[in-house]
Amino acid sequence: MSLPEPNAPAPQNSRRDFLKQTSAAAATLAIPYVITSQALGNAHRAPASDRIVMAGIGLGNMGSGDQGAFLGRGDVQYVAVCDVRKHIMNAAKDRTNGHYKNSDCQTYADFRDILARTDIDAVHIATPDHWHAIQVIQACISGKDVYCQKPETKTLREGPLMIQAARRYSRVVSGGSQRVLEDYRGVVDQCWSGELGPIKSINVNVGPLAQQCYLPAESVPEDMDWERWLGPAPWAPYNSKRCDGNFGTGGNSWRSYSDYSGGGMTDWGAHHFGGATFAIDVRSMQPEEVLYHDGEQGPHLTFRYPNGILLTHNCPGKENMQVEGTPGEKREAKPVPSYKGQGGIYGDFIECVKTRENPFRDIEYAVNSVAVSHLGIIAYQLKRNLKWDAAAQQFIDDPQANRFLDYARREPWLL
Amino acid sequence: METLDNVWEALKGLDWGTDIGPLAAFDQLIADSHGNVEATAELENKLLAMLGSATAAGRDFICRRLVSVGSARSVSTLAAMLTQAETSQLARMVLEQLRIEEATTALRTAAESATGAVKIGLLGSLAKLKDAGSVAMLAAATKDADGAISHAAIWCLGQIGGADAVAALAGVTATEDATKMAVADAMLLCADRFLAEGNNAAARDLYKKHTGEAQPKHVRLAANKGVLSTVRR
Repeated sequence: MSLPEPNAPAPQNSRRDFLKQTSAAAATLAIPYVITSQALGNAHRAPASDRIVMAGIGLGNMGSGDQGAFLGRGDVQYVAVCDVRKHIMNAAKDRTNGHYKNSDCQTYADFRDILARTDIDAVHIATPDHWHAIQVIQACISGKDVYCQKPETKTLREGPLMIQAARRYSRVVSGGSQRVLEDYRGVVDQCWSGELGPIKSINVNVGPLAQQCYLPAESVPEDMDWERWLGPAPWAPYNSKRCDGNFGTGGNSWRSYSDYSGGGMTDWGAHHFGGATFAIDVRSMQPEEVLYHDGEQGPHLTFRYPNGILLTHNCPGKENMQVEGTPGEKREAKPVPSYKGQGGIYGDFIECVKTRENPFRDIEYAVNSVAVSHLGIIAYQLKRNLKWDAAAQQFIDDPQANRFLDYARREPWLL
Repeated sequence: METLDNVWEALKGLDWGTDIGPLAAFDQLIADSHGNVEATAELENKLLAMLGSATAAGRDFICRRLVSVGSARSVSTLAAMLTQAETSQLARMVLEQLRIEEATTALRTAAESATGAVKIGLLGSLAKLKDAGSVAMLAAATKDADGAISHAAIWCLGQIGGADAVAALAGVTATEDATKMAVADAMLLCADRFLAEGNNAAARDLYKKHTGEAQPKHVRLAANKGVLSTVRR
C-alpha cells in the first residue's frame, strides 16, 4: 500500500468558528465583551481560539501517560474523559480539573458520547487493542483527529479500514509508538546515511505470542462495566488477570490474551517492527512472503519485502535490530524524517492537527508495521510459509490462512 | 494415539478455569492436517460431534478450531446456534470465514427471524460478506422500531454498496444527527465503490449530494474530494 499525498487542508472546527463569529459579531454590534485572561492566553498558553480541544478514551496505564502529555501542552484544552472503570475515569477527570483549576472536565462511559460532541477536535485512544479499529473509524466519521496507542490494529482486515476512514474524511490519525523514532536512532542513522550500503536484512527479536484465555470467573468489580470492556471481543467471564492493563504478556494482563492483543508480538512488536521497517525504509510496504523455519533452536520467520529486503524474526544468533548491509557498495544518503512541532510524538500530532500534514507515525505506516506482527502470528499458528498480496490484502492460494484475516465481532459491534 | 484420546477427553471437561495446556496438541493436529482432506474432515466431524454437549468454554474452544477446519459440513450445526445470544457470535466466527453460499444463506435466514443485538450481529456478518442478497432485508431493517437495528442496517448498506443499497439509504428518514451522519457515511462508501468500479457518473452524483451546507464540514470535504476524483479519472 503506497502512501498517499498529504491530507488536503481541512476546515477549522466548529468551536473555533463559533468563537471567531461571536467576536466579530460583538465588534460589529459594539456589545461590551469581556475576555478573560484564560481565554486570551499568555507566553505558555495559546489563546482559547487556537487551542486544540481534546478528550481521552481509555485512561488506564498508557492512556494516563498520553493524557499527561496532552494536558501539559499550552495549545491543548482537555475537556472530557471516557473509561469503563469509574475509578479510572474519575481519577482522570480530577487530574484534568486539578490541572486547569476548574471543574469543567466531563466524564463518559460510552465513547460515542464523546465523539458526538461537536466542540471536540481530537481524541487520544488507549483502550485495549480489540477496541482500536472501531473507535478510530468512528472518530474519523465524527470528524475527529486521532492519536491512537500502538498496536493500532488487532487484525489484518482492520488496518485498511482505518486508513480509508482517515483519508476519506481528511483526518490526522497518528499511531502511538514513540520508540520508532527515538529508540533505534543509531541503526536508523546508519541505514539512512548510506554508510552500510544497500540493506540486505534486519532482525527483530520480540515475543511472545498471545494465548487463548480460559481463566475462571470472578465477581465483576462494582465500578466496572464488563460488557463494555469486552465490547466486540467474544464473551468471557470477568477475571482480573484477563483485563489488567499492566505491560506484561505472561498471563496477568489483557496483553497476554489473543482476544484483546497479539501479545508481545504486537505490543513490543509495534515498536521493534516499526523501528526496523523505518530503519530499512519499507514503511510504505508490507511483506510479500513469510517463510516459516522450524529448527533446533525453535521456530523463527523471514519476511521478504517486494524490494528484496529481508526482515527476520527471532533469527538464532542475531541481535535485535541487527542490520546486514553491503560493505563496499555505496547507497545514497537520505535525510531522516522526524517529528514536526515541539514535544516529541505528541507535539508532532498536535502540529499536524494544526497544519493538516501527515504525522510522523501516520496511520498507514503504523498499520504496515503491525501487519508484520499479524502476518507472523498467522505463520506461527499455521506453521508454514505464506504468500501475501498486500494490494488485495489476501494470502495467495491459501484459503485457510485467509480465515485469520479477521474475526466476527460480538454483537452489537460492527466492523 | 492414547495421548490423542486424552486430548479429546480433556476437551470434554473444558470449562472456565481449566488448564488448557493439554489442549495445545489440537493446534499441532490442525497444522499437520493441512492439505489432507481426510484428516481435516475427521477433525471437523469430531469437533462437531462434541459441540452439542460442550460447556460454554468448550463451545468457545471448538468454534475457534472450526475456523480452521470447518466446511459445508459444519453449517447446519452452527446455523442452529445463530439466533441464541450465548452462541451467535461463536457460530458467526466460523460461518463468516467459510465463504460458501450455504453459510451465507444460513446467516441470512437467521437474520430474518432474529431480534435485538443478535440481529445486528448477523446483519454485520452479511455486510462483511458483501452479500447483495441481503439488501432488501437491510432496507426493511432501516425502518425497524429498534433504533440500534435501523442504525446498523444503514451501516451495513454502506458496506455492501450498489444501486439498490443507495436507493434503500435514500429512503431513510433521518432526524437525529447521528442517523444523518450514518447515512452520509454509508452513501460516501457507496460512492467510493462506484468510483472504484469505474462508474464515475454514479459516484459523482452521490458525492455531489453531500457537498451542501447541511452536511458537517468533514463530510463536505470528503464529498468534494470525491467529486474531484471523478474528474481526475
